[in-house]
Amino acid sequence: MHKHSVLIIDDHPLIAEVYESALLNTSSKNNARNFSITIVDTCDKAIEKIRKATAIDLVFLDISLPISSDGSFLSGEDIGIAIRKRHPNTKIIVSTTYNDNYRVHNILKSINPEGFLIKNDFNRKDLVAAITAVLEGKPFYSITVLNLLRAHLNLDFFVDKIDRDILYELSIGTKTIDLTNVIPLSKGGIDSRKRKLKEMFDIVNESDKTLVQLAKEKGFI
Amino acid sequence: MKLFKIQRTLLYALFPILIINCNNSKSSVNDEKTRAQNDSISILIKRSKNKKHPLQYRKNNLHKAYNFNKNQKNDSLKNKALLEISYIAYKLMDSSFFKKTNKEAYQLSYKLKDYFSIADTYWNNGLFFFKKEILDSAYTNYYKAFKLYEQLNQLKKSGIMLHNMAIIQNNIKDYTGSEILSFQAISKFNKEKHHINLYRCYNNLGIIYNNINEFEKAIKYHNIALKHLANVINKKTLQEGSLNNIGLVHQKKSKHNDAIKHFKQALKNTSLKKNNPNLYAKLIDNLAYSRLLNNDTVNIRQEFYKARRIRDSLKFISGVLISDLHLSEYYRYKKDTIKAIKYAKESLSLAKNVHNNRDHLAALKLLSEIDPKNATKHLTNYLSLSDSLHHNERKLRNKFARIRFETDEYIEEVNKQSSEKVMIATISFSTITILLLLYFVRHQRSKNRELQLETAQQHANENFYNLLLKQQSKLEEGRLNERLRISQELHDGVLGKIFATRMRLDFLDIKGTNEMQQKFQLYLEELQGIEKEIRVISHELKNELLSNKSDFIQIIEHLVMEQSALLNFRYQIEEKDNLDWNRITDVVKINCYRIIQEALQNINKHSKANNVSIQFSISNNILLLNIKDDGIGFDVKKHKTGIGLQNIADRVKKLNGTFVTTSNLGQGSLLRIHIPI
Repeated sequence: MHKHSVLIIDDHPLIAEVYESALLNTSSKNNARNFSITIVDTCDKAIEKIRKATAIDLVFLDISLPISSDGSFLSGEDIGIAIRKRHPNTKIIVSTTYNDNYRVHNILKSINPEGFLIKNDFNRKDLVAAITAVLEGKPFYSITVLNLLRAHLNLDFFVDKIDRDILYELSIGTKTIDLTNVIPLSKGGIDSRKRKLKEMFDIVNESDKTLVQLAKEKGFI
Repeated sequence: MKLFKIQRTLLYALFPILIINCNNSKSSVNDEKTRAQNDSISILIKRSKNKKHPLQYRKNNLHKAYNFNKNQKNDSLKNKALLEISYIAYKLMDSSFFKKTNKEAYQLSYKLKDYFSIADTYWNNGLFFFKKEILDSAYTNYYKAFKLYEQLNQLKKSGIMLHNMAIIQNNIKDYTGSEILSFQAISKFNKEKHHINLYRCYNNLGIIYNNINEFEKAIKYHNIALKHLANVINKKTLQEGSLNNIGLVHQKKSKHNDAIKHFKQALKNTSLKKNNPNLYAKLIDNLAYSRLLNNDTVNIRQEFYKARRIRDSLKFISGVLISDLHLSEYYRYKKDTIKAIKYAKESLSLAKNVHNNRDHLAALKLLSEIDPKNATKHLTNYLSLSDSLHHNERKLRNKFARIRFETDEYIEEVNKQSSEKVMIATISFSTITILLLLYFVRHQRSKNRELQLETAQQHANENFYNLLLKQQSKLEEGRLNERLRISQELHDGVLGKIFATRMRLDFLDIKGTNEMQQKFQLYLEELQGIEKEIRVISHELKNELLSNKSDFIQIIEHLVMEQSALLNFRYQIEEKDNLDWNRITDVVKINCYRIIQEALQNINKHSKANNVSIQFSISNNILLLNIKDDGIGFDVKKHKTGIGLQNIADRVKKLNGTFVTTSNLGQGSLLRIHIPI
């Protein structure tokens, strides 16, 4: 009987316990599954584990993790990328409390996880269903994530990463003059992107504030 | 001895040439009266000059002219007339009048700084004193005039002064001094070839050398004098005078035939008797005397008497006494001792009367020779008089030296004063210039400083705004950080824990009734709802950022809030048209801030408002700021120039904006400010 190796990465021991319970619950329901579970609560430990492990079947990945000691892994997102690189066949269930569109979109793009759960969106049943689905090779997304994906399908224009970054920076109150420090573009470039965005949203003469509000409504950030 | 008298007759008075401008061609109609007066003055002066009129008549006319002239204004014209009047007074020997007029002329000249005229008054004075035989005063005046002319570069006039002085020195037997002065005068005249004056100088030299018995030189210089005279148009009787002088030289060196020849030559001029009876008499007398010395006594007695008669008729006492002396010698020669003594004594008494010392001496000497009884007495008198004369001459010579010295000092003093004046003027002028320059420099500097201050003020304003902004953003940052922290805490901590707890509860296998299990599920769902709520709160805390008012509005709000707390009014701050404050420069912002501050102060002081509304809007690149209150209002026309409103107007003007105040008493007021951006 195949024994699934599972890695739980979460800095909350209580939550890790929940995943463990859910896994055990799955295995007790379906005796065919057997799990060997490892729990880590920091980026450093997670990376160590990923490097050492020969094969990992399933990873529970929390996004809001403290930064790694060498500073190269800022959050669970970076860990997810590392897993994808090292173990391309590993199934990843991202489980996070973040539900802002920008973040979710970025995670979908960078990790493309098999399961995407927004904590608070689900209960015991959903969690068990998610694990089962993922192990069976089916994707499982929380309702919030599904709604976001649907909204994007409706858009008939293209907003790339840099546009999103600009919108995001504006939304967190970064000043126009400081934008060049965080976005790899000149001031002119940033301004022209902003103008294009405003044109797309049909708000040419409005302020950046309006743009940010609209982008938010449309689910870009 | 006779020489002295002759000499004196040969001294030609040299007078300043006076030019009277009677008609000023430039004079306007208003000057008609003055012109008429000038005319009458000139007529009066002409009358006083006319020798055909009786002396008293001439004097009266001169006084009248003086009185007319007195009323003229003090100008050079008046001064010229005054000088001429003074000169005529001298000619008429109206002593007191001369002194008075010459003094006035001097004072007026001094006032007018007319140094030529000052010198002329000295000259007049010299002439006057010379005629009065007050030689030292005459000398002083000539010398002063000489010095002035010298400074004014008046060659001719200074030469004439030298000549006049030379004559005075000759008179006191200072022949060397006289010789030197004559040569100095000659050098001056030579430059411009003043023949008449050169004639006079050489004539004087001839007389000097005759006096010191250098006969050859005397004749030589007399001949040079005659050569110069040849160039003179109006010779008068000067040639005869020179011939007489040459004759006298020959007479003195006992060349009687030569002497007689010259005298006779002079007498060939038939008009001489009429033109210069004095010289005529003199020539007759000298001719007769030479013949006497030449032992030719034929008819000379009649000649002596003829000369004496002419002189007597001219009331020329000195001449008469010389005739008496000659007659005395004639009678001595004829051995008529009684008559000789009689004429000698007569000449002596005449000499005493007219204070003619030299002829006095000659008479005494003659008497001592022809009157053996009283010879000792006469000789003693002669010696004592001679001694005292000699002494006087000495004294005078010394005095002249002193006069020269003192006058030099005086002139130097005047020069010093005038140079001091020039210096004072220069110094004061430069001081004033420097002061003016200093003033301008200061003025310029203060202007620059003003500009600098203005710039500094602007900088200060900007800094002030930046500080406000910084403070505001720091406050904001602190607030935001705190919100973020709470949001984070809620999201990561609380939410996670509730989630974990809920899930763990969910995984508990609750055994119980269906109802219980349903309730359990309900509570779980409620917990999930709470999670959602917390998440929303957390998000809102974060997203407050977006709905944040701009820093500037917050600053304004802070300002209005402080004021409202003081005055208990309610306020409202509005932004319209999605105003993007980033587009608006700090200068506009700070001025808006100040304008609002000023407006609030006005409201504070006067309006008693309950509500204040401040509204920003933008249209067509023009920022509109409306400040409205519901106070007591004011009369716009009356208070247009109030300091508060003026300050607002100034600021708006600086920003090229416009500004309208609308207010009615009791109806509040509204400030509408438009600023282009």
